[in-house]
Amino acid sequence: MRVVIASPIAARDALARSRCAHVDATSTSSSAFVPTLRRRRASSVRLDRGLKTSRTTTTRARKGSTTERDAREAPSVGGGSSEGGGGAKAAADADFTKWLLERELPSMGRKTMKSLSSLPLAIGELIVIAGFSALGTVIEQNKSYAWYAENYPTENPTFGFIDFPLILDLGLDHIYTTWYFVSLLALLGASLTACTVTRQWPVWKLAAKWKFLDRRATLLAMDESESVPRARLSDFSELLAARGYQVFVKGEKMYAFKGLIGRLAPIGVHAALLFTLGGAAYSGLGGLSGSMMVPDGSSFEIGSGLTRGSLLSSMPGVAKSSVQVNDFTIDYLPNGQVSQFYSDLSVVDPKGKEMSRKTISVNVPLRIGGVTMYQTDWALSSMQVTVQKANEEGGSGAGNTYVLPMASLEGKGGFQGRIWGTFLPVDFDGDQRQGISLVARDFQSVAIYDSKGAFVGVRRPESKKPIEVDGLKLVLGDLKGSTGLELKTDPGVPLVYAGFAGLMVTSFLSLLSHSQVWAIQEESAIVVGGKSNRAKEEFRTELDDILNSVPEYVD
Amino acid sequence: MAFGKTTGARAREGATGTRRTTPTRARRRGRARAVRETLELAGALDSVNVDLALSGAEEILGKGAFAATSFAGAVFGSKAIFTEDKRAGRAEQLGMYVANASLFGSLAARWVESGHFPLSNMYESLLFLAWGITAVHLVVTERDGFSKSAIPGALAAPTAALTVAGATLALPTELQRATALVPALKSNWLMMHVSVMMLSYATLLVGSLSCVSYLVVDASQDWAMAKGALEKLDDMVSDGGERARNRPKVSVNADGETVAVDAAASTTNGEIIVDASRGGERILTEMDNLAYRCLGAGFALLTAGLVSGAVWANEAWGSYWSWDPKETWALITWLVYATYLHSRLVAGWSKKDSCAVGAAGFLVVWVCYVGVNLWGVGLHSYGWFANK
Repeated sequence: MRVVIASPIAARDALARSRCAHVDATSTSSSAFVPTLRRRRASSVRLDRGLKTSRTTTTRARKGSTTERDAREAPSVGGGSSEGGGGAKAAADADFTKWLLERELPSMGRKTMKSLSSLPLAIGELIVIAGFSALGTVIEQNKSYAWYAENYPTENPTFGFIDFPLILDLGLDHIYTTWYFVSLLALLGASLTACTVTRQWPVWKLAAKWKFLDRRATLLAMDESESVPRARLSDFSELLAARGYQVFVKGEKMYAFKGLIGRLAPIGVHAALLFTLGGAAYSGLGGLSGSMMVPDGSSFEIGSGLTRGSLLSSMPGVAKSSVQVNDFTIDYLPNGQVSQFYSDLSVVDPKGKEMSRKTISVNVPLRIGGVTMYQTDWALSSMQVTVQKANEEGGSGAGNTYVLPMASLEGKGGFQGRIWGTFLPVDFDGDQRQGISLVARDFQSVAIYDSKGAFVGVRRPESKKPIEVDGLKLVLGDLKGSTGLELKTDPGVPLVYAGFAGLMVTSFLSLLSHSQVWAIQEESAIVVGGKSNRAKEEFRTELDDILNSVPEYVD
Repeated sequence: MAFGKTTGARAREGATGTRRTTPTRARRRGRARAVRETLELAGALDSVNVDLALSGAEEILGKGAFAATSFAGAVFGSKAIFTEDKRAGRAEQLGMYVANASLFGSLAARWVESGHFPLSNMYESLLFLAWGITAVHLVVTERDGFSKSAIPGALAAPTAALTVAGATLALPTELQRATALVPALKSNWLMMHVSVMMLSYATLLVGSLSCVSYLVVDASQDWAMAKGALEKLDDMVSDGGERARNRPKVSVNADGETVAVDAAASTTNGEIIVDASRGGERILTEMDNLAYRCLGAGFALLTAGLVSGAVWANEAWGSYWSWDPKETWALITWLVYATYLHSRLVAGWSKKDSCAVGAAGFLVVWVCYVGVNLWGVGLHSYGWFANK
């Protein structure tokens, strides 16, 4: 007997309409027909199931729509008759409220949930988020107005339409914080929640239930099936148990499964993602951050460093305490490359008592009272120079010592990379525009140029070796740096980390394949049917192996 | 050298050992031979270049890996396209073993030389990626229930060869040299984050290549010439479409005990099951299964890589997510493969559509891995072209 389907298109549509793919996969068909070819049979079973699902959903939908229509009409009729008296009007209002709360809102909620949990919508969200994220890596983020005006001029738009007014109007200069991108993420979160509730929760409940199957046709209709002659169910059960299956036997019927966690783990993945998204939202709303460039030896109040945050974020208790930079150093490798940056920090409470002291470096932050301080940047802040007239003779203590502040020259006058410079006037009393330039890229060496801009030489700081420029003898002293610190409070981190931990575990557990095997003893033969949700080929090989080792009873 | 001698002795033992003809035995022997040959090669290299520095060994191993993957790619490719025997043979599989071992050796030598985990610049990470691709290929082709056809190899081996070529030929020599770690990379997270990330790239690339082969086979099904070849290939994969049961024979004696019966004495033969699938359907199912399993594993690894990266970023930079181009592209990769995994659950989508998404992932992984660093922007630009 073959299942006759009126129109294959209708059947495909029915399949498309069947709401939950997971539930479909776990439910089993009980249609009775004798198949000729295994593969064709399997597909007709799917179609048959699809048709049935569609039939039930359409009837349910029709029922739903009639009741909704009745319900919608009810309050309007009540409203029409209520024009006579105030009492009737109140009753009508109560009717309306009741209708709204008991019928309309739950049905709207159900409908919203249903459309949110739709897989095509979720896939659309994933693709759109991916697209906007990619756009944000193509258009440089968080640059100045002038930068966009220079790189995306209106006269010569990129691809004929991308110019800086368009970029700035659409917020493409800070795409990851625009309202539409955040809304997309929120929508994805809503979809995840809806999917977890409407699709995955039923899977959980279904997966916990299992049943023996006793119809030969049902077993033979499965992905993998076989009738094995001259075999015993007990031998088969033992072999399955030896392969790690949980086996249940009741009389002539057997059910075995393994890897159930593989079916439940995706629920955990979604839950963990919700934790992560929720934590990220909490971080964004409740967190504070800021960056500071602090010269070696000076201090700052923690609160003054926490400049960025939303209206909902609150200052931590340690905001009134201050941080003293005791020392900032850079370790260099023999080849001149930076090995590590170190800042020796002390946290001092308002009364002047030291609360904590730690040397931080990249990868080793300081944590105190919910505030974390990271080593992120550095700069040169000042240079000590001892100046002496070249013809004057004297000891090393002679001459005037100045502390010259240094400024960054990066990007100015064609300078490439990180570079700082300072200026020493030749004559303090006369023309101060004439002077010596001192330029350094790091703490290791300083280049000296005379008042005409000609290169004179290079000295190491604190080398005590004088250099003669424009009739002056210079001795370079200590070169002081500033440490670049990033300050942050982030109340969302525990939630995000909980989500991360869940993701790590559940995403790997999701790889496990849920394999199920049913079997019945039919006289001397056993009929075996089985299926697996992920590792279909491996399951096929495994079942094949097992069936090959089921003893054959010969007389 | 002592090292060379012991391996030689073991090789002789193997040669005089008993010969068995079962396929698993043959495979195991093939594997043992591959390992032995690599060891012998390493031993020979050692004895020839006693005074040669580790970097010299690295170079030779890198070239050896390129030669081995090119050879394997050529054999896999010609088998998949021209010959009637489309099944993967031992020679090209051995080539993949040699490539895998020499890449491993090269990376190990570099670890010893530099003193830190060899994943600090582009050269090292490309070699690691090539090693990962060969490793994933070997896992998926040698495991029971996975592919035995030449098609995955015909795509994976050239990819590995091009990766090695990119590292050894296209990169300037100063970028190939092992250098000290920059401050931000001095953390135990380096090994965890970068190695997991690279393994996920390798797994995802092999999975995406399976998607590509699915699309190729699917497209060639409409082509009458290919149809005959595909059916032949099908026969190869599914053992002529027949599975013969050869179950142990037992009987119950008078005491109720079960005793084994000599199979030769029994008159019953193995039952024969006819598998009715035809016309490339079997190979399509296989490619689809391979892609799904690889991409599932790669997705889990990518998740682990993203999570470890986020935790490290929170430790080092002060924020677990900062929309840096590299991490944004890793997220895009994650979203694309999430789309692939979910598209299989939508009732209306065909396997072909899902595979198209998976195949698109191949490009996305390369953009994420190399493209972002070629732009030279963001926090991840260590040891690459645009080192600030």
